[in-house]
Amino acid sequence: MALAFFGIIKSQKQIAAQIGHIEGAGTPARNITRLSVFGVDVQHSESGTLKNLRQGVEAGAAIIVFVRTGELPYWDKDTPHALVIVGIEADIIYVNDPAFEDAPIAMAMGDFMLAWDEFGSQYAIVRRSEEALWTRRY
Amino acid sequence: MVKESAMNVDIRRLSALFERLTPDESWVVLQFAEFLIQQRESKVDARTARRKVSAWLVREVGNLLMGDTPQYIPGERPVWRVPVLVTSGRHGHAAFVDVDAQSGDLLIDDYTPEKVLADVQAFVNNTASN
Repeated sequence: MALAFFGIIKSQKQIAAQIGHIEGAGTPARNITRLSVFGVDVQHSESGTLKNLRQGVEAGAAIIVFVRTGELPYWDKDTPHALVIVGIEADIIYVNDPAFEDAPIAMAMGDFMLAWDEFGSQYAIVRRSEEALWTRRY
Repeated sequence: MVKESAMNVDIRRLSALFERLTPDESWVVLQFAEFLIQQRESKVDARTARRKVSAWLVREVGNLLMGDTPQYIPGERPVWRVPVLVTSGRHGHAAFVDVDAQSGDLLIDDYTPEKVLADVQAFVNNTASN
């Protein structure tokens, strides 16, 4: 979903092979940086803040966040999951969720923050490689 | 005649009370007693321990794993024992990770990710063959 954000089309199989998917366990979130072979620059961080997310969105980057779905109001399962942040307002955050066709999905900031906090507020900033210098400013 | 100490009296009273409880009531009293001990011995709460393990699992082992409800293990070095919950396919506990209940440090080493991963794969294979 984050690669498609930049018009880079890769199959799930190609992506899984690149980031090291293991059946039952999934992929270590830090492996997301391996997506750089597809022409993007990826930075994985922890202890993120709303300011980090807002700056990334405003700069046109794709922001991937790791969340616990049990805290998300539109989920009825409790599992680790990844979302792409596409917009932030005062009390509302907009996400693209690969498990749902509807996009974007709006939710209360409080719900999102609880879900994000569960995994140490981990996030990844994905940009096209030629824009690599941009994040160094943050 | 030696006067019985206050502590011995308390122990006898507790014992007498315990005998009058049903098994379910005894379990509740035990849980409460353990909770009181946790409050005294542990500077890290169960939720914090679970979150630390969940964050580590997702970052270092796999994004389909997370920490489940921790169990408090008292002792010289009390720990929160956090089960590793497999969320893909059939859910279940495949391993555990300990968190120091005083410092909040994860009790892991360089080999822990491999060990957890091996346990997860064994759980998945066992589930698939049943």
